[in-house]
Amino acid sequence: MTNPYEGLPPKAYWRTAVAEPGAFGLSGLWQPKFPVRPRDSIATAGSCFAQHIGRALAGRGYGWTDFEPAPPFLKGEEARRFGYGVFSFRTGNIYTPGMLLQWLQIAFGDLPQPPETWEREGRFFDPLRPAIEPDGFASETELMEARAATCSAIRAAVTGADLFVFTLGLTESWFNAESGLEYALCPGTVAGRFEARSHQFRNANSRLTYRNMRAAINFMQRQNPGLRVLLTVSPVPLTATASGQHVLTATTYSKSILRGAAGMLADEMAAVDYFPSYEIITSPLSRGMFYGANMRSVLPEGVETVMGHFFGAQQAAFGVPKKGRGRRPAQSDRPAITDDVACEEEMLDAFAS
Amino acid sequence: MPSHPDLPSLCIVGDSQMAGLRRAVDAGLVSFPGRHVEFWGATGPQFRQIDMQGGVIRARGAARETVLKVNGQGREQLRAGDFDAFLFYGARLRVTEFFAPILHRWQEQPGFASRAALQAATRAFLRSTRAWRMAASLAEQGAELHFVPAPFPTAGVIDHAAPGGLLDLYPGAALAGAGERGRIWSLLREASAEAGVALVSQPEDTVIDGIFTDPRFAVEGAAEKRDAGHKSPEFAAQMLGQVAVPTLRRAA
Repeated sequence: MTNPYEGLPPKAYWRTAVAEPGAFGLSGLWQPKFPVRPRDSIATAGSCFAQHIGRALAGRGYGWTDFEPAPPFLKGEEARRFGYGVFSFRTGNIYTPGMLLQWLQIAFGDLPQPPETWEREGRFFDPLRPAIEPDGFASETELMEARAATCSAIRAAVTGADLFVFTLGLTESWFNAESGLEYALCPGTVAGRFEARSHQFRNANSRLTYRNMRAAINFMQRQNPGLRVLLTVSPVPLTATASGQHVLTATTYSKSILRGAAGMLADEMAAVDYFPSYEIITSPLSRGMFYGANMRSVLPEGVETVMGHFFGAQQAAFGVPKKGRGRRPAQSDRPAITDDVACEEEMLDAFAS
Repeated sequence: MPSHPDLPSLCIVGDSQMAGLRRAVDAGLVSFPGRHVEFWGATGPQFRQIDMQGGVIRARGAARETVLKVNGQGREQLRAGDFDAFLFYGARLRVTEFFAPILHRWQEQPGFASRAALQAATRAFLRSTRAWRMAASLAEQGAELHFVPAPFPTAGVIDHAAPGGLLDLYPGAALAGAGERGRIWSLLREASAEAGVALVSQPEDTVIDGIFTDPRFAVEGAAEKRDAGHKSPEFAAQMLGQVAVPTLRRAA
């Protein structure tokens, strides 16, 4: 051997691994560390792209678990409008590792329930998830009770899941300067009122991003030592940046930090893996074809391609999965009270004359 | 086919729950003096063969035969203008399926859903029942509409804790109190009223153990038939006492 690049497998060379196979011939992109089995209980959270992963897993019969299900009969789009069935619990998007850590600390009582709420025309919005209730909560009490329910679901997810899938979305976030509370969104966008003195911007650097994500994983694995974590990075660019940079360079900066942190954690921690959905969508090979006209929204074909790689890589590494909980016919939630024969007899008997 | 032209008229539309009401009428527990009343309906499973097209409710197949037998006056179809008022009775609106999961979850997590989310769930529940959609459509056409949902199951008749039973699926529902039931009835009445339908709650003095009907209102022979669904004529009489039908009051 004259140099280390000689004799490497085809996947190591851009020409043979990327240029020649083309966008739809990519293979061997991911060597999963551990199997994701249909029987596993899988929790998903994070940036908006995570919802596609949860839905695809459930659609393939994997055990994506909804730890905070919607009230009965509230289904589909109407349920999603209230934040049900989007992630495994009703936090709405968790864009940053810091926000995930904060939710965990609140849910498990390491941080007190933040008392801050945002009020608009008599309705109340939760700064941790201002978009979760389309018209706001009726009262602060209702808001806090609903948050308690979500915290309970987070605890159940962390302690009960086999796999936690988290999609890292952003590095930019807003804080309450006094309390240190990290907001899900900048006050004044969806709800709340922006006050320059009270609301601080932060663009987490590599060090902080890594530290928060590692702390969040450690926190979860202390609660559930068997929990495996799968990290992904959202390929969805920033809607806007408050960093002072151009939104394109701010996006690259933010995604690079997130990608770097995810890679480091996957390298360092045995029970943590990184799945390259970000690369599949954003690579030059894809020529932007997986984005909608705004070059931001990921098209369903993109999600399908991503998940094709996911299931393909799993199968290549661990074989065809056995059927799991998601494929089992669900137990009826309709209690047995009267059978049809009794109905017929009753009716005919009463109206016989 | 208009009903009796000289009298305020009421059409009672329902499934086999209507049998208790019919028996109450036969036993003189319920009467409609000075009113023209007709029954119209089919068994629960046959409700799949009853549909509404162009504002007309009609029965097909086996349901048509049952409808004719139940009605006894040859009325195959229903239009909004045929009666002064309609009372849907039972009619597959099984509120227990809505109450049980909510009451159960409230025991574990009182704030699991906001009132707005529950309102949305309530509308979805009502819309999921074909007969309710028919009732709402009649109301939209100007008819006076009342709806008595199917009552809670009778306590003790069957083992509700057996696999697949109510208490197996939703054990917390048995711990619910009148206040919690009242919150759900309020949601149902509100959502119904939005559609012009007056929904009638099950009286509290007929309810025991969170989500069950007192066994004193069981249908005759309930234990032998293992029938926790149907109720006695006395129960029907009590339910009808809850119905405020202005049309009928005018005739009294």
